[in-house]
Amino acid sequence: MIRESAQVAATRRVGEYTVLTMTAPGIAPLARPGQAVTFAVGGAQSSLLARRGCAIFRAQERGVYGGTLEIVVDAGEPGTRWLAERRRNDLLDVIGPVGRGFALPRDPVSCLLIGAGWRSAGLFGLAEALHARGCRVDIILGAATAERLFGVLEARRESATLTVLTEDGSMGARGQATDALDEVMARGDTSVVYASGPAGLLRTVAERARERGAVSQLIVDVSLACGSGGCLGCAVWVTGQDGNPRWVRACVEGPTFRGDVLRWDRPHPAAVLTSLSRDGSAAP
Amino acid sequence: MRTSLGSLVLSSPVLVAAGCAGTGRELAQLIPLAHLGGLVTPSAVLHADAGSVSPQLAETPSGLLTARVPGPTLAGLLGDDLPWLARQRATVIVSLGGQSVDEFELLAQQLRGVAGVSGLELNLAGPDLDAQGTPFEESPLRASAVTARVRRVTPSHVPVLARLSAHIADLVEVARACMTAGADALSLSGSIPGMLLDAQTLRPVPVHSGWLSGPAIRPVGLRAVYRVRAALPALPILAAGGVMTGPDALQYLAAGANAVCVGTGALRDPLAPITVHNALAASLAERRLPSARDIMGCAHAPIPAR
Ligand SMILES: Cc1cc2nc3c(=O)[nH]c(=O)nc-3n(C[C@H](O)[C@H](O)[C@H](O)COP(=O)(O)O)c2cc1C
Ligand code: FES
Repeated sequence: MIRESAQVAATRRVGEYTVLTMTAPGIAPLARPGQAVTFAVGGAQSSLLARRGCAIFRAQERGVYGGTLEIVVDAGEPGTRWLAERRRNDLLDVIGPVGRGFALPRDPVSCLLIGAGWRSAGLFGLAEALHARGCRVDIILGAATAERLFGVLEARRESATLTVLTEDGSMGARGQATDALDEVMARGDTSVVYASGPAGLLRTVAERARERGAVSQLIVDVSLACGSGGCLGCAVWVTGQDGNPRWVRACVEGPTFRGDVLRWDRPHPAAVLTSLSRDGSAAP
Repeated sequence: MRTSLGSLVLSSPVLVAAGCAGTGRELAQLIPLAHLGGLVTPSAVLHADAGSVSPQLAETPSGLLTARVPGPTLAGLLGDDLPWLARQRATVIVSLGGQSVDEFELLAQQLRGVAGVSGLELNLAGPDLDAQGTPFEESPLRASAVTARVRRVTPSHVPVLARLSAHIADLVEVARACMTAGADALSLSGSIPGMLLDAQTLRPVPVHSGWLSGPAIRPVGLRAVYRVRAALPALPILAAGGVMTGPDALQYLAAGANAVCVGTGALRDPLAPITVHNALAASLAERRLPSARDIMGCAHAPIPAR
């Protein structure tokens, strides 16, 4: 994990989201699929003190400018809005890679990747890594609307089969991403499911995978307010190795977890940051 | 920029506040812990109590509101973290979070003679289970009882710092009581209580009885340091509350602090303790002051005629 000043190289709109490409020659070569980065937002004098965590969409070790990182921003609250408003050449205070990446299967097994909205972004580096191991990759993408889907083009390239669902039916089938789970898992004879989405989706994936004897690996949906282990705002309620429940920090022991380790008898606390900020309680 | 807290000499007047960098393992990936004035650990408890409180955090204007969760057990600190911190050559102040006077004494006893413990900080903001959960710091009697008992079982070369919150009613009286009971220094202040309502439901958000930290509380912390320094000129003060930059730290020193902690500032920018140190050094040089000592408490004296 290192901190660097990353320079924005390009920005583009994808549906309702903004994709930022930045040069981060220190972090990019270290990044593994499933890991995250965090940003200070609002500039030095900002009243926004929590960092904003973001899954790494793509990390390229070398490019014209050295290593680059790409992230997908959902400008839903003042902090992420500030991020989405960055322009070429702006500098960003970024720390990463944060946490542990996904565990990759040793054998070329059949894998399903399921993502909702912008959170799907964290799965694409993984798809490439699985292909490199000869794994079959099926993908399910879901969102409320077509504009809130992310990565349909990339997913088509990276998958044996792609299933798209939107809640309003504006693209693909009508429904939620998890509606397609059983069918796609049966068709692909899935051994490992990787998921990134809101807590409800993660819980469904974990339960369905267990029922079908598959392994699940999930990126938890918590805010990474510091990303360096200090704030405990990213705590996740898990079953420890001794079998007892305990809180662990997603920025240290996650943000990827095995589904059978996560416990659902307590709410994911860190969602508070986003739910509050969405109401505009803090302005930059 | 050396400074001291009682018998403890610090290489820098800038430390990391209790609980804001865990036990330093992640921070150590970003900065050498030996470069810090010191690291205050999260408040260690006697018994693990995993499920009792959910950790929570919310962002408020220029502040963070956090639910205070039970810290690590002292046994865990002794087993893993303190030996590791000693190897990093970090100056470590262990914060204690006892829930009764006896618990504080037991915690302090277990730390006797442990290598790499440079000081003890008593987190007196926690509930005193022998006084219906009233925080220790709200009673001069209870706060001084903790201080006296810990002081008695702690070797004299290890300073004991009593941590008080800025919002308590009898701040100066409690500070005086702790000093009389043997506190070598005060830690002033921790975060202060605050709350938030959900904008939609108009009900307390999950962090309904949280602790507010960050620049939002800096003026409160500054006034607390100023008042205590005026009333108790001889008692060293480790200040905290919203330090983000060099000028913030300079103000605390001027108000009477001997050293400052960076808490929330280090969550936003883990390099902040180093940046603050460097900025402080630069502003002392600019004022042609040879040491941090030359600025301490200057807010209490009239501006010298030129
Ligand atoms: C996430 C977090 C955890 C904290 N944990 C502790 C703790 O374990 N013990 C303690 O005495 N103070 C704790 N504090 C209070 C800080 O040590 C500090 O005094 C306070 O946050 C004010 O400083 P700041 O404004 O620079 O953050 C914590 C504060 C935060 C934000
Ligand atoms: S994000 Fe702060 S501890 Fe994990």
